[in-house]
Amino acid sequence: MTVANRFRCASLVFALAATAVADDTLRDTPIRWHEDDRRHVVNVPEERDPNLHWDMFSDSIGDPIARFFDPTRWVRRASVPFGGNHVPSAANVNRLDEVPNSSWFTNRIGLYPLSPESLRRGPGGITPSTDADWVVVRAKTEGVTPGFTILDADGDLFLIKFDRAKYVGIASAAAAISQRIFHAAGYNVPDDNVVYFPEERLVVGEDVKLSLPDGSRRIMSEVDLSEILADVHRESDGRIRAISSKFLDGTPIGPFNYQSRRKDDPNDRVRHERRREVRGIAVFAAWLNHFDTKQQNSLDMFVEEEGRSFVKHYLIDFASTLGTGAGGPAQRFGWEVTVDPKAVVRRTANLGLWEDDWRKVERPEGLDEIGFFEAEHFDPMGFEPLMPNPAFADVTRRDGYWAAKIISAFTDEHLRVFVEEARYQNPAAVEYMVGALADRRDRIARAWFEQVAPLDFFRVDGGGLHYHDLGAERGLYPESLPRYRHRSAANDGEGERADWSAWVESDAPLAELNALRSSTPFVSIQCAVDRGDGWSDPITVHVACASGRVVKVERE
Amino acid sequence: MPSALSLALFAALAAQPSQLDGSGESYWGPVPPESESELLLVERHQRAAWEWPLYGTYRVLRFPFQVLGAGAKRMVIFLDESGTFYHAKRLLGDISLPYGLRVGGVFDVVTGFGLGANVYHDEVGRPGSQIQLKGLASFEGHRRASVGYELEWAERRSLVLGLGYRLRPNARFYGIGPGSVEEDRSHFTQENAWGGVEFRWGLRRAEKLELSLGALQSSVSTRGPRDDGLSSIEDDDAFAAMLPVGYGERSYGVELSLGLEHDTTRQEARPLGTGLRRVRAGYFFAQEEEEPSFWTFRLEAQQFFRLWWDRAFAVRGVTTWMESDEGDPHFVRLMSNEDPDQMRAYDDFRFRDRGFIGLNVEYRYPIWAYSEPKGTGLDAYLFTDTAQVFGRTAEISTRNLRPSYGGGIRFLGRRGFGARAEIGIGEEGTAFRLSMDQVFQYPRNALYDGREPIPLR
Repeated sequence: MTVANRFRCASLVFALAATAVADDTLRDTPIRWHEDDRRHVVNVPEERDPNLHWDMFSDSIGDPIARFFDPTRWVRRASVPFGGNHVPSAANVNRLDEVPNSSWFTNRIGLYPLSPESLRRGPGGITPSTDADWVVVRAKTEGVTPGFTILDADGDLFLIKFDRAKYVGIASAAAAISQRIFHAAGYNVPDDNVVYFPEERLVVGEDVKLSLPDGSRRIMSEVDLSEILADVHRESDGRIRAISSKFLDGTPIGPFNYQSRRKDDPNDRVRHERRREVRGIAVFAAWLNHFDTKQQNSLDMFVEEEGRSFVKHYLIDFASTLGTGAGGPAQRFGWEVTVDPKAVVRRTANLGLWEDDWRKVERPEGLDEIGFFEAEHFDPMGFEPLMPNPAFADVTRRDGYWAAKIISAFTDEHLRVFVEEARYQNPAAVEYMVGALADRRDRIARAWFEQVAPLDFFRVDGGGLHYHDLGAERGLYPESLPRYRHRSAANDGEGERADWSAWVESDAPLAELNALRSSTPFVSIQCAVDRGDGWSDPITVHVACASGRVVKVERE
Repeated sequence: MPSALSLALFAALAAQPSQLDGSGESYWGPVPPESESELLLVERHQRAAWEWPLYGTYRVLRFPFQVLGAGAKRMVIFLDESGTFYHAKRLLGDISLPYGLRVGGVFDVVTGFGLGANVYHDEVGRPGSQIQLKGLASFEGHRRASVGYELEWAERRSLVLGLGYRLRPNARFYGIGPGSVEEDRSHFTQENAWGGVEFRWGLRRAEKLELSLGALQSSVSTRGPRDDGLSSIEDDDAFAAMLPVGYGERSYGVELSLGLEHDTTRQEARPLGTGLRRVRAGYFFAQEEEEPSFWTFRLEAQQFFRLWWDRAFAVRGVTTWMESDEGDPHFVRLMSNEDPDQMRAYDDFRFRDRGFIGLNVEYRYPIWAYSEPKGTGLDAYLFTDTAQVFGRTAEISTRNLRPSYGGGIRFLGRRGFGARAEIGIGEEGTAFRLSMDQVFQYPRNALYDGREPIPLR
């Protein structure tokens, strides 16, 4: 082997090793639960207005090609057998591998035992006041479904959108349910609620401009209002059903990009595809079949809170979830991107002798308010949005586990409360939707808990390290009797660790910590679980001997 | 179901105050509010040191493509904001003009590059009526013009009127009979004019069972080809000594016809388990003294079998023939493998004789769908065709049948079949075809649509 080739090999090995080696420094300091990304910003960042047509091309073709030819990704992929990740780890997690509260995310059901009723109303449950007429100040006629911006008696602005007459209740119900789930998970979302109102409540304001499909605009009249409402379904009592979305506080500055960052926002320090909560949207999207995760379904607001002005990041528009799109029930969406050349070639080559799973999905019989949403054929790892999402392409096992952990925290009672807010006409639809959400929840949780052992929430108490087996506690493995094991080693906190002790098995998630009396400042403990199919990869927990504080958790 | 342990834990922790602002007694322990916490500041540059040499090189190599991409992006945004995409979409469909008129574009590659236009208007004179004017002109001299008027004068009763003209300056002729040879190809100019009326009665409400009665006056004339570079029938070695019957003379007459059509396909783009059957008989009264009159008959059956899932097996059998005791009809009025592609991989009008019999078989399966199986999508198909012309039924034999096979892709839109691209392989070579016509389920609106596909007789 020549000197040059030896150098190349060594460089490659070094690179591979570098991806697998983590930072070994430990510190006995409080865990940081809040990200420093809400400092006061003086100048409002420039409004973004990404072009949808260009996004379709770049998300579907340009960005995937760019990612494919990125050499750093090749190196990382090669490091996977050595314990590395195909992409860099999420950059905004604390030492417990949790996502701190930030302008993007607020920990709720994933970290706290929140009652279903406390989450029923989502971010507010505010609907337009019925004290007076709703004044239409803007109309939306483009797209599949019409809608209006209205001003209510309290001076609040709301966006009102209707279901298609042929599919009444489907999209509005999906929006109400999914918005509450995302809110409960921790994301910033608008206040979406199902409303019923008589047509007479809508009046056209002065100088309201009507946007026409060709891009031109003219003054809207009452006749226009009637024409727009002519195709909207009416209930038996004449009322119209719609989804109302309260305008967010602050100044809208356009959507956020799922990659890169806002360079004119000094608080936006982390590339968005490196944020765990942004990556984690992929897992929630799979659960809820939220296939329309393009950037145009997000919104950054320049807000003022507690005397500070900063950018807050929202997810919006959840009508295209739970098996429906804006145009009605969508059977294929969520299974493939819009055009997947590999899948087309595969199907052409197999001469129709293989059936895609999505074609087997059926709507529940007799439940017209439900779209193509079920659990029987659901593949938690097979979800694909309509357009490839750069952040979704960077989901690691830890990212997926984090999101699945939150998803598993939703009990059936939580789901029922959210589904009740959808105001289905048919009680059977409520039962069906709760069941489907619960079943998919369990499948997603199991899928990711098999990637990363669901041993979590470690606490030192009474000389022992207590932790939770979320898989057992949340009823995901009812048939199994888990066994646990742990081992420990002294750790100087500077990268030097003694040899591991022998494994100690137990029936309960508890590790005795005799080594806490060690002369070193820290002790490391590895925990693993066996549900009958072998021991999981261990989770490594580092504990400060003096304070008894869990200072770091490593899942890989 | 959650375990007892989890319920107990839940109850214990639920006794503590919990908030929706991200602070409180969490599963990890107490989380202080932001104002009482040390904040996590993430470093701006998060790449590992080893990545920079690789990534830097990659960025340099990628730069030209980024410049191109930036330019393309500006172009797309400009086209979008200027309304170009919107107007382009309108051009692909029907453009609404004042007074209820609508205009659509037509592009026909088969007859050479050309341009066409359709103009149609609803409710001409009375509700339930529509009129359509079509025109096409190609750079190679093809001309086509037609006027069609359809009036629904009662429920499931309609009257159709039509006038038309067609000029084909380089029509092809290979000889008469199943044994005609490709090498004998020669050319001529063909000129057609026609006018007719047709009454239609829908006999059944639930499915399409329709009786038609028609009268069509038509004239055909032939002469040498327009293009001096092409071999002419008159000069070709194969035919100069004995020109086909009627060449250089005008054929003029009236045909009375009676037809019955039964269509259960509901005009779906992917029919499954349904079929279409057509029967037609006509008598052509020749008005030129030496031209014979003759009977024409047509039998056609199409069936779409559902295989597994939504895979389809489409079968189409058709036979047409003419009978005359007065001599041979004008050669242009003979039966032929006409549009659309009754014999794929062979030229249209390749074979001519008194009768035609053919079988088309396709296996179809979906390869892409936009959102649902029966919506917009792409189907792949494999096909085999076999057909021949005959002067006498005794000539129908495996020796004379001409097979072809191949495959293609069909695009199915919201309004049904959109287009197909296919490759066919036959005894006379390989043909690639891009077409907006179907082999199956092609509409025979005839008079209203300018007799497209046009039986040129």
